[in-house]
This record gives sequence, C-alpha cells and structure tokens, in this order.
Amino acid sequence: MHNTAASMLRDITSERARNLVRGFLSPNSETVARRTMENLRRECSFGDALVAFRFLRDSPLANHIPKADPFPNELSEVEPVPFYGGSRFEIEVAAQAVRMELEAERLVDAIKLVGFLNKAILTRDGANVATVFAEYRARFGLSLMVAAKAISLRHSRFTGLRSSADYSEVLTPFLSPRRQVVTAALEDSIDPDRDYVRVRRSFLAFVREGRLKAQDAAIVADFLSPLEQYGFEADQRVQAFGRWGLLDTVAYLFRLRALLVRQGRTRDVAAVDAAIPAEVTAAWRSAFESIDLNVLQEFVGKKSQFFDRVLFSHLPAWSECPALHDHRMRVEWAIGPRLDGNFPVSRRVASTFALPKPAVIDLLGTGPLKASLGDVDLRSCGAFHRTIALIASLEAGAIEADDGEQLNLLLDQTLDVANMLSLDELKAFLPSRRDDELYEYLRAALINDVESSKVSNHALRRALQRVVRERFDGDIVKLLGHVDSENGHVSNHLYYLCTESFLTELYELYEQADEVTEAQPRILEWRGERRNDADALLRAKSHRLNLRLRKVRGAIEVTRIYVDPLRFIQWIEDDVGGDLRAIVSLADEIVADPDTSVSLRDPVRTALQPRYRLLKLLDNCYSEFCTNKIYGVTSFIGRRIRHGTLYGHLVLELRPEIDCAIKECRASAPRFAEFLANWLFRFDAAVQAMAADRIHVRSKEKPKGLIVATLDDPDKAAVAKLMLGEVALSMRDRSLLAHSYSIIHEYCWILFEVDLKRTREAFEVLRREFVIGVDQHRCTDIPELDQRITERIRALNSNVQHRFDIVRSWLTRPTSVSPSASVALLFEAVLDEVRQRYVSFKPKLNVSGAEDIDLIGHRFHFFYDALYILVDNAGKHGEVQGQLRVEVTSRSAEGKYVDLTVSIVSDLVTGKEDGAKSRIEDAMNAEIGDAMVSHGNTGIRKLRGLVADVDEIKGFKHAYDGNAVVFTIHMRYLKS
Amino acid sequence: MKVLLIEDDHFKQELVEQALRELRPGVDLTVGRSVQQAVRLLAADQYDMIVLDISLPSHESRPGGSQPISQPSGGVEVLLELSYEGRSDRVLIVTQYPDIEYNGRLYPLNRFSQAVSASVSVSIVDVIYFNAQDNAWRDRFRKAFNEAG
Repeated sequence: MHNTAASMLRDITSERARNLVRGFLSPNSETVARRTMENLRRECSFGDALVAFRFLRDSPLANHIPKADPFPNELSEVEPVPFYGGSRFEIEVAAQAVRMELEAERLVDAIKLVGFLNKAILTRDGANVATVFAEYRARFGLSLMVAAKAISLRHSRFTGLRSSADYSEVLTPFLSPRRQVVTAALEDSIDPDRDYVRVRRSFLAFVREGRLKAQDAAIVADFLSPLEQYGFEADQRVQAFGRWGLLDTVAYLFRLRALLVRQGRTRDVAAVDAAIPAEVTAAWRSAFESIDLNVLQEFVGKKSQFFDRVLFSHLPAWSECPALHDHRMRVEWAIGPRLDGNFPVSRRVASTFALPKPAVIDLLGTGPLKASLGDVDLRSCGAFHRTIALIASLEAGAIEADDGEQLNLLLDQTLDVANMLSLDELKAFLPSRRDDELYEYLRAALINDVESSKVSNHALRRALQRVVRERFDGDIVKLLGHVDSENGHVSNHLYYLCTESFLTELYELYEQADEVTEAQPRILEWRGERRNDADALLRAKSHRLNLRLRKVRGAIEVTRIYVDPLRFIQWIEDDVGGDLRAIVSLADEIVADPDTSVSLRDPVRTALQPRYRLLKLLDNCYSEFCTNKIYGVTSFIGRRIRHGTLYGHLVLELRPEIDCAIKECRASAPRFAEFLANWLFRFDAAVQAMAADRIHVRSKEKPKGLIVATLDDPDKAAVAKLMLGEVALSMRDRSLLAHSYSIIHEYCWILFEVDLKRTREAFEVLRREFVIGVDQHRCTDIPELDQRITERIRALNSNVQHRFDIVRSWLTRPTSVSPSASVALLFEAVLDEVRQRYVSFKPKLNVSGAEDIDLIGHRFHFFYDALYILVDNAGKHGEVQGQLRVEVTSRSAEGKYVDLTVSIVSDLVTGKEDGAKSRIEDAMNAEIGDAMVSHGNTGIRKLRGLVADVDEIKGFKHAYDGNAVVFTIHMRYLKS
Repeated sequence: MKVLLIEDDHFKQELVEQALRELRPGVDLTVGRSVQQAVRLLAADQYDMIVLDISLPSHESRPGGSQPISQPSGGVEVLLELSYEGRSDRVLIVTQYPDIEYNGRLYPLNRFSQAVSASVSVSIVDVIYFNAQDNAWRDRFRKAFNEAG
C-alpha cells in the first residue's frame, strides 16, 4: 500500500474501521463492496468517518469506486453513484462535509449565480434569465435546484417571460430521452393544469409501494411531503441528496437544518453547521435571504382565489428562501397528512397555521385577495389558507354553517374540502338539516365526493332534485346560476356532476328521456356563455341538432352495435379532457418519442412519461368505449345479442327442426334420433356458455371474455401505436381538442374491430364443433334411410351455418360511426323549426338532385346553420306560399374531395322585390365584422362569417331568377 | 294483497303475472316498466310485495322521442329509494341475469342480498334467477310468496 495512504489509514483510530476501508478498496464483487461500505457507515465513529471518507475521496487506490461528482454534468454521472440506504445521521453528514470541504469556493460561485438567477426571474428579465441558465449549465452542470427554477418558470403566469427566457439547457437533461422521476414529480405538482392533491398522492403512493428506486423515492418524498417519513429518515435523505451535485446537497442540508431547529435537535444542528463551510453559509444567506413574497406571488399568479395554493405548489422550487420555506413547513405541519390522504390524521394541529373560528361566517372573506406569509387574515386570504382555517375550526370543536347559502359561500371560498376531511369529520361538521334544501344538497355532494358509493350517489340525487324542485322551479340551470359566483367553485362542481348518466337518474326531475336530452344542451349553453367555453357551445349545438334530427327521423336507428358519438365524446371531454389539455404542451415530445411499446404495466412509467400518459388516457377512452353501461359497445352486445336474442336465434328457432327430425327418426333410426337429442342438449349448453362467459369484456369475473377493453393487448399494438401518433399530432397542430376527440372515437372503432374479429372467430370455432358428420350416421343396409338422414344432416348443417353467419354479421362495425345526416333530412329539420317560428310559412317544396348525400361528422352542423339562415329568411321576408326549391349537386374533386353545391331558391314577396333585393345586397356587401355574435339582422352576414371561418365552406353567392333569389353554398370536404 | 311488479320484458311480465295470479287470485297489481316509473309508483303508494327486475330502461320509450338509457342495475334504484325512505315493503328480485352489479362489483345472485344489506336497509325476500325454459323459478317464486304470508 502507498505510504501516504498507509499514513492516512493510520489516522483511523478503530482497527475494525481501518480493516473495513481496506476491504472496501479490494476489488471485490459489488455485493461485498456494498456490504463493507454499509458496515463502515454503521460502525465507525464520526471522527473516523471523516478520515475514512477523505481517504476514499483522495486516495488513488479508491479511484475505481464510483463517487458523487461535486458538479455532475449529465444524469449518467449521477445514476451509478451507490445508495447504501443510510446509516447514522452524523456519518452521512460527515460524508457530505468531506465532499464540500475542497469545493467550497466553486460552490459559493454556484450559489451566487443562482442568486442572480432568482433576481433575473423575479424581475422578469428574460434575456438575463436565459444567460444565467446557460452559464450555470456550462460552469456547474446539472442541478435539481436549478431545474426546479426552470419548472417554476415554465408554469409561471408570465407567458412572455416563458418564451423569452430559454431554460431548455438546464431542463432538457431531465426530460430527454425520459423524464427523470424527481423532476417529473416536481413538475406535475407545480403544473396548474394538474390536480395538486392527486399528483402528490400518486407519487407518494409510488414511494410507499416501493415502485421507485430508494434514492429517488427519498427525494420525491422530501420534495412532496417533507415532514412525513415514508420510510426515509434524515440520514437516508442526506445520502440521497448527496448523490447529486453539491448545490442540491447543501440546499437539502439548509432545509434539514431548519427542520432540526424546529425539532430542538441542537446536536444535529451543530453537526450540519460544522459540515457546511462557513463561506458557503455566508454566501447562501446573502444570496437567498430576501426574496419578496409579493414578487414571487405576482410571478406564479395572484388573480385566482386559489393563488395561495398555486404559490404553495411552487414553493419546493424556492425553498432556499428561509421565510418561504418556513411558511411551507408551517402548512405541512398543519395539514401535511391530510394533503397526503393519510386518514385518520396523526396530528390535529391545523390551528398552528390558522386560528380556529367559532362560526362559518367568521371564515368568510370580505376584502380583496392579498398574499401573506404571516398569520392568516381571513378577510383577504385565498381559498387554500381559508381551507386550513376551516380545518383548524373543525379540529377545535363544533362549528356550524347557518344555512345553505352560507355553506355555499364557504365552499366557494375554500378548496378540496372533501379531500381534506375524513367522512366522520365531514358528517360532524355538517349534520343533516332536512328543512334547508340547499344545505342538504351541498352536504350530500361533499359526502358523495368522500364516499362515492351507490348510497351516497342516490342521496345526492335526492337532495339535488329536492332543491331544484322546491327552490328553482325544477330547473337545474337556475340552480347553476344561483350557486355560481366569480370563483365558480360550487357551480363548476355541479356542472361536472351533470353528466348524461347522472342526469338520467334524476327520475323525479325528468319524467321522460327527452327532458334529460333537453337538459344537457341547456347546461352546456349555460356553461359556454358563462365561461366563454367554445367547446361547450359546440357540444350544445350538436345536442340540439341531434334532437331536431331525431324528431324528424321519428324512429330509433336499429344497429346492433353502436356507440353514440355525442355521448362518447361528451364523456371524453368530461372525464379525460382536463388530462388531455394538461399534456397538450408535451405533444411535440410525444410525437418525437421513438419508443414503440404500448404496454401499460409499469404505473410509474405511465405517470412519468408523456407518451405513456397519453397512452393511458387513450386506454381509458377505449375501456369506456367498450364498457360504458349506457352507450358502450358491450352494453349493446348485452342488450341486443347476449340477452335472449342469441339464444333465441341459435337454439329456440332451431329446436322445432330438430324436434321434427327426432320424431321422424325415432322409429326408423333410433340411434340417430338419440344423437340429435344429445346434440341439441350440448349445443344448447354451449350457446348458453358462450352468452354467459365469452361475449363479455375480459375481467376477473369473466376470464374467458373475448373483448379485451385495453390497448395493452398484443393484437392491438399496431393500431394503438397509430392512434397514439395521430392523436398526438392533432393535439400539437389543432387549437381545439374536439378534433382529437373525433380521432379517438374513430380509432376506438378500429381497435374494437380486433375484439370483434376475435369474437367472430370464436363463433366460427363453436359452429365447427357442432357440424354433424354425414358418414357417421349412415345405416348401410337401408339406402333410402341413409339418403333421408344425409339430407336431413345437410339441411341442418346448412341452417346452423346460416344462423352463425347472421350472428357474425351482428358482430361487425356499423358502416358509419360518425353522426351523419342527409341533406334532405337536414332540410326537413330546418323547415320544421322555421315553420314553428312563422306559422303562415307554407312554401311549395321541391328538393332535387343528390339530396340523399350524407354529411358526416361535425361539418353537418355548419351546413345546418347555413341552411337555417336561408330558410329562416325565406320564412321571414319571402313569399309565404311561394316556391322553396333546393337543388343539390355533388361531384368528386381531385380524387379525395367531395364538392357539394346546394342552391336554395325562394320567391320574394310580390311588390316588395326591390326592398328585399336592396336588403340582400346590403347584407352581401357589408363588412362581416361582429356578424358571428350579433343578432337581429338577416343572418346573411353571419353566413358570410361562416364561409370565412369554416374551412369546409368554400363559397357563398347569390343571384336572382325572376322574382326569386337563389343562394348557393359550395362545400368541399375530404371523402370519408 | 298489493303488489308492484317492475318489469320491462312483456313476455316475462306475462309469465310472472300468471304465476302471481295463480298464487293470489285477488291480487291488487300495479305494473311499472322503467326505473322512472318505479320511482314514481313507490312515491305514490306502499306495497305488500315488490316483484323487481334488475335490468331496466331508465324511462319509458316513446316513438320519435329520445331513446331511454338501459340501466343494467336499474332495479337497485328501487332498493335505494326504499332504504332512503325507511320503508319496509318486501322485495322479491326476479332477474334473467346470473349476477347483479353493486358499487362496481358483480355479485352472483345468491350473494347479492347480503352484499347490498351492508349499506342499504331493505327487506329482500329472495333473489330468483328467471329462466323461461324451466320451472325452478316458479317454485322459488311460490315459496317466497307463501313465506311472506
């Protein structure tokens, strides 16, 4: 052994420790080396540890041992650093002290640079931010702390700053080729499009369930829930952060120090103080002592009443500022276990953050919102701090709401109440009050959010119907308006509650299915107008048109397998839309991702990687497409095929023929008659088994089910990949998600074809199993009898085959899966509606040309609008008993398009032609301007607006033919 | 005896009604064909026995009207209504399905009553599998009525 090394080793006082260091240096197997290092960490004294770690840091003999780089450049330099799972606190602190002592100067420079970065970010100096990020990367490599700044910036409210301040250099290494778990947890918890509590609980569940590497889990737990253990004591956390660069190590040590001070662990505080070089401590304090809360609040956003929760979610990225960190720790201490979802809560100390109040009225805000780190001022605080005050009040004892109106105000000014309380706490807070309908509804809604069962859902529906009936004339939209406010918290909850299936079950409110269908567009219209939500307005329009068309059609479509596109797309919007919107910004990354797997078996990967997040959402869509009890394909299979029809068609209708054959052969060919009776018995059982076990979605209860309601199915891999690619492209290239929804719907049918094929094949196997062999039943001594039996068998086989062919035809995709309507049907629906407005309008109708051409998908809504404007004008200004002629021509264009031209000819009122023509000319030549939003004119300007705004409408012109006006609309769209 | 029969399948309704009239010739029978009707009829009166199908349409069908929604566990709504109102009307479930969904789980018929009674207070007399091809359901149907008195 080298002399210097030998002399260094001699400074280790314990012989056992010396031997362990020697053992660690020997080129042993990884397992032995690991065990030796664990023993060393466990057994040696603080003093020996300092010497041993210095030796391992400096000795050439230890060069082969992977060590944490003080300033790593790439993730690949961090990943191989071993994690021993901790030992004793002072040993882990000693290890970090040894790492820092030779790098203090460089670390001070890094700290100063981050100080500049903070200033540049908070003064919104985009160019400087970009420069400092680049400089940090060039000089100091990778850092979780700096990446967290970039994430906070990425989700700040300053879009201008976000685009001018390039942060890709410090963030990209954590995102590409895969999202690193620690920064992913940070980013998802800060991302305002994601539910903070849900993200926090999901990642902590990964930690709890051991799904992450221990070194990552320790850091994720510390970032998300710093006061809870989750199996990682301080020594393990020091070691986990010690695998990263020194900036991240020291950042953790300062946070840890604050915690140790709070816990009164003075010896441990002293150990941390001793470990951090004095100049580093000085630089840290100088750089980070004075971040202005108001500036940070302005940076993350302060307009919404949830501003304090938004700030809270950003705080892990700003924890170097003592005041901000202290604020965060006070919140964590007060409600951390509740945020984590750990009920019953281990400590009831919310009052350490906000003083309890005796009455709900004392909790309500009165003044303008104002950020504060000190005592909670309920007059001006945000919803998050007010919720903590509510929890403190509940923990302190009885607090009651005076009535439903007051409870409504409280819920409007708080957030996640159902998530933050246990069911018992909620019930104690809100005892039943039968005499207050609004209170009962809000109470039932909260209980249902916590409990989510048939009973709680039923109780909620009863309470909702009662308040709507007794206080809002049976009109749910009036209730929506009543509980709505500037914050819209309670009304949003009600809006999202009112899905079609929920409305359907409001049996006291809606006696007919029509009333449910009518309620939906009214709710969507309310939403669209109130929140300026274009998607909601478009869906309302679709519903209304669907209703009109249904009235005109007068009958229900008879398709065996069918998924109502409106209902399914509504579900996508309600249940997946938010999550899809949250990954729109990652669409580029998904499109560029070279990965091709469609396996969803790794939940961590599914939570982290954008591609798998999208895949999981698409998987949810397909599962819903298959299994939704109302419109899912299997509900149709259940109702129209499995339940009765299949058995009736294959067995009951076949039975008379078999019975007849048995009767006929009983005397002449008794063995054949017996065979037939047995055959029918077996066939009956096999068909029943098919219905009972196989034409189902595969599940624990139905393991032989033929429909596999997931994308994670080898037979669907190719389609799933295409689907993912197309949806990601549409999310990247289109502003409205409605287009992506249509793609998802269409691909669900293509995916389902795989399951249908499997099911059809199973029926073919079943049929083959029951083909009766002719040769087996020959009675060679009686040729006539043989002939009769042969004919009978052939007829029977042929009949069975025919029946199976029909069953297989049931299991096919409908020819059109999109909403569609012919021009003639649309015209009829328009006319029906216009006649209701102008009762004397009885034109002489003439529809000619390609009137039966179907308009498929969203384009027929545009055409309906155009048609409506023209027919409405004819009803309003035209000759009420004159001609109304529609001429339709359609031709193929450029191979892939359809050119559709529709002319509507209507007579002008005799004697008033000049006035009418003048009005038409004015409308055709006027500026389009606000035509799409203004009402009260002829509507022709609006139609011209449609031509300008809607890609598929290519032209709109007019001409005169005698005393008639001819309007012509030209559409061009892709062939379906 | 006042009986409410909730059944949307005419064929099954006829057979159940026939079996019922054989057992109780003077029965005062009311029939509902959808969940909505069941809820309305429950609100209007009390019954000695409710013979309940489980898979029901949400509302009655009307030509040219919106299509009612099939509720595979629609009959459960009747149990929830009875429990919510604290009523003791006896319920006899007669279904053509081998299992019933409750709170997201499928329960075989022989375990449904126990499963539902954990959260709902309702008097279920029996849960019978209806198969028109054999008479086993009739025997249990008769037994249930006889035991109910």
